[in-house]
Amino acid sequence: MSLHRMSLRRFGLSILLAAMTAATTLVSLPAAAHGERATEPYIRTRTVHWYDVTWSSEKIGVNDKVTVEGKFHLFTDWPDAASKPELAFLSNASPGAVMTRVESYINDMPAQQSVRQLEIGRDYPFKMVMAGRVPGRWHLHPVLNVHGAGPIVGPGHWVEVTGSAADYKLPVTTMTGEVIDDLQHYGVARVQWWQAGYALLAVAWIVWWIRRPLIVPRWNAIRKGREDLLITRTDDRVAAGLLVLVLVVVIGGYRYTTQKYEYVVPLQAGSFKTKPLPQVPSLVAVEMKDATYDVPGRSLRLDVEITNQSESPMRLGEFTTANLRFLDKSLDVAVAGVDPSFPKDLVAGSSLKLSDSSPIAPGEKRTLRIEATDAAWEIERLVSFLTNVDSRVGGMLFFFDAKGQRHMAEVFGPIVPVFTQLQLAQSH
Amino acid sequence: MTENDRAILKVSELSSRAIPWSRTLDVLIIVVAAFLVWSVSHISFLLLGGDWDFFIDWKDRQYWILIIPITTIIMAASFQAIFWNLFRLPVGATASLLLLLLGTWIVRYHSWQGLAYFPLSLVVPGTCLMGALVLDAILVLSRSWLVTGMFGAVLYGLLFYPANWIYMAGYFQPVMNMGDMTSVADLIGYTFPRAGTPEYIRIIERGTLRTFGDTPTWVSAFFSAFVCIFLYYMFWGLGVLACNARFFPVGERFKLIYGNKGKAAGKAVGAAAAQPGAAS
Amino acid sequence: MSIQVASSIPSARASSVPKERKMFSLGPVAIGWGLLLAVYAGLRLYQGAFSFEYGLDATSPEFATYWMTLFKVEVPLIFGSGLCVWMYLWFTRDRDMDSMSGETELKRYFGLIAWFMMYTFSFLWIASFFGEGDATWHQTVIRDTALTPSHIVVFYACVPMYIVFGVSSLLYATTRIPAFARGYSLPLIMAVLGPGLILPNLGFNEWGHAFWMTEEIFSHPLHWGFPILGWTGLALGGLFIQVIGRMAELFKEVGGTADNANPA
Repeated sequence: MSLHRMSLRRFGLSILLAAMTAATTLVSLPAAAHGERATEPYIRTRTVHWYDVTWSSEKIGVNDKVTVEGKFHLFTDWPDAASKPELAFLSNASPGAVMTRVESYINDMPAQQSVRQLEIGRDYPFKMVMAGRVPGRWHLHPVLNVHGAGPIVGPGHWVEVTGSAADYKLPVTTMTGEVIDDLQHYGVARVQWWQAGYALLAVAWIVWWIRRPLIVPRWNAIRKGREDLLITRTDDRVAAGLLVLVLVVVIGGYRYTTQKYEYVVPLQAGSFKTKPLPQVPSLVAVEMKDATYDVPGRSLRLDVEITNQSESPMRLGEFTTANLRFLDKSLDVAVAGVDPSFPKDLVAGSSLKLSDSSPIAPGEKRTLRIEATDAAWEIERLVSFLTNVDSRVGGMLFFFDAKGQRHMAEVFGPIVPVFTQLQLAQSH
Repeated sequence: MTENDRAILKVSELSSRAIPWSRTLDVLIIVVAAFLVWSVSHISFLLLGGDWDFFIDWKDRQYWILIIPITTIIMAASFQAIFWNLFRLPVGATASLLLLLLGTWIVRYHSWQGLAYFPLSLVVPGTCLMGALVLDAILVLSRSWLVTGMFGAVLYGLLFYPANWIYMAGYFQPVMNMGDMTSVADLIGYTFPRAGTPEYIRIIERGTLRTFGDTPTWVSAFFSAFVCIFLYYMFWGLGVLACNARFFPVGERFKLIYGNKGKAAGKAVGAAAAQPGAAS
Repeated sequence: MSIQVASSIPSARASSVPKERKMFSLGPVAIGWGLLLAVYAGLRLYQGAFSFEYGLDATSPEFATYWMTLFKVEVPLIFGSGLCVWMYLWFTRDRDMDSMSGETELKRYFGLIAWFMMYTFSFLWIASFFGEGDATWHQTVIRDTALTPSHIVVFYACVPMYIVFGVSSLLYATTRIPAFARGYSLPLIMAVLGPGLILPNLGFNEWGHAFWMTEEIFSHPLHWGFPILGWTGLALGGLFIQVIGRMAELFKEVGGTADNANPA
């Protein structure tokens, strides 16, 4: 929260707040999510999977830059309810314009415009450079807005902006050579002065009429057929003068402006297309046999059949879905894959539990039970299966070969919630 | 007080005792009318054409120029009809656009900038105020809604673009961003992110097939002027309709509950006040 | 709050009143405006302090504390206060309209205008101030509930507030002014009922946002119910005819006719 926001407003609000929250405990930690928890779990687990996301800094000054980059995978089992990523825009979630966007790229293509025809099942690298504008501690997420599916939010990390908001400045030089001192204020005074001039004319016009005996006198005069008194020859002259004045001002001003700004461009609107990352042949085949969610135990259990099609033994190191990461902590290479800048609250505290954690030999087909247990399932509202019209779940499995190289595979299928207590009650 | 004012008072037959009451009523009605005009003009515009007015990167050549005049002339016409029919006051259109502009600026400061940190350069509004002045002036000169619609509404639609281009043109200078050419307006929209408003959500010109010699803005302005004529008449009609002063008859029980006793109860039921005729 | 200007005026013909009394007193309206202003300013400050801080995630406990509490307090509080005002207006109604003096009737017309000064003032805050402010929220953040920090203020504080004043205006007119007690005034009902319907219209709005509108476009047809219902405010034109037509008569009846009354 920014200091300047806190001071006077907070003070003035204390009375109001005291009355309304007297019986409740005030939690001082600001909310970290940006509304994504209300997004249906089938959208969060089966559309855009963000991975390898890093933040270049946790603390920046006003005007300083932070780079968020990584990759996203567009899931094959994309849900019916969400439109396919035919048109999308790389954005970010932050509370208002507290940080400004300096640059953004999808697969190294500038992403000022929307991107079209992203391919399902493929991966895209992205990069966003943001600058600090308003001091405070802000949660910075990458977001992929998909037309018809809405914003699909990536992992968020706290970035603290220090300094003074008054120091923020964004100078720009146009292609015609005009130097704009600060984009935040550009043109505003000009708009205000002109509109104040227009408003002055309007006020003068209204006052010209309402200064007279008004409501009942005019009402009575109309009833008596004396409209001639209500609009006089002087009024006609004033109206004609106003008409001429308006036309002269507008036409004159327009002509002057078109001469002043000889080179102008319309709003830029075309979308762009970019290639996904090269497709890597899948060396691990994964098929989900069964999936249950243990409601009281807060544990997702997947029974998957894994076939190692490579020539190297493979170990499962990570299961990730909806920005949550479950790691086999006994596998160093998997643990090392978590960048130090990655938010800790999105990495499960307990290790991924496997029925057999020994390497899967080349050519071997093995059925594994994978258990991902964490309170985050509840906190992130990923288990509202009873209210879901599409009770399927999806995620990414990260395997590691003997050389430590990562191989990714999708896993998806229907999921059944298990209400242990309910079952017990029924059995009695 | 002018000679004309005295003549009006004389015709209205108000006694010296009633004149101060009348002036008090003037002030009160001005206040009520101002709040009403302000509210209705703003809520009407906000949800019919607001998006193009909120953001500088929605102010395009195709829709902004078309939609702002046609979504503001409707209330301008209705209020013009009401004030003209009731009091022969040609200020309805001007008041509608003036108060809309005032309300807009207040929100741009307190909410867009004050709450969500957006710079004013992103959210500068346009205005049809000059068109509204023309609309009222032509109504005075013609005393006719028919003529005002034919000429005033056309000018209302046509004037929006040039009257706003005077101070908006600078936002459409070319500038480089990430190696591509864009406009200053686009750059402002890109720089200050809006999570709920992705780029593709903008309803703007996505490319013209024929630019008519680089004059698509004027084509839009002329189309806007054309639509304005019809909307002016329709909403002048709505203003007239809104001046229906009917009382519906009620049953005896209603009258008794509301304190109407005896034979007086039957009096004045459904007696609407005489309605002044429309101009021309 | 009550701003009754004339309910206790004794019945007496104007001509027999020796001392001139004020037809209209701005005091109660000014106090009413002041109170409303304090409420609206308080709500805006509350939004400034806690919208982005605790309002971005509807599932968080902070949201429940800061926002749902406000929602649960304001709705019964405003409608409860309104109910008290409505009951007061109803139970103190004039039970003998027939013997009302012209002066009393005139003062009550001024009283009705005072109510409309409150009604239109309170409508302004949703139609303009918080109405466009709603765009500030929904076009910049991800919508995750129907009860967003913006909606909790604009729809569930500001709308009930003007409904209270609208219905009060209607009740004041029907319980104290003969013309409105003898027949249903079409424009008065329109001017009160129309904007009031904005509250149930929220059902359509939220239905669309819940099921198929994933991003915010203010000008979307989903939102057109709001301006259309807002247009019913134009019915004040018809009400002006009813009110001013009668007041013009009363000015002559109570104030007497000017000596030089003949048209020029």
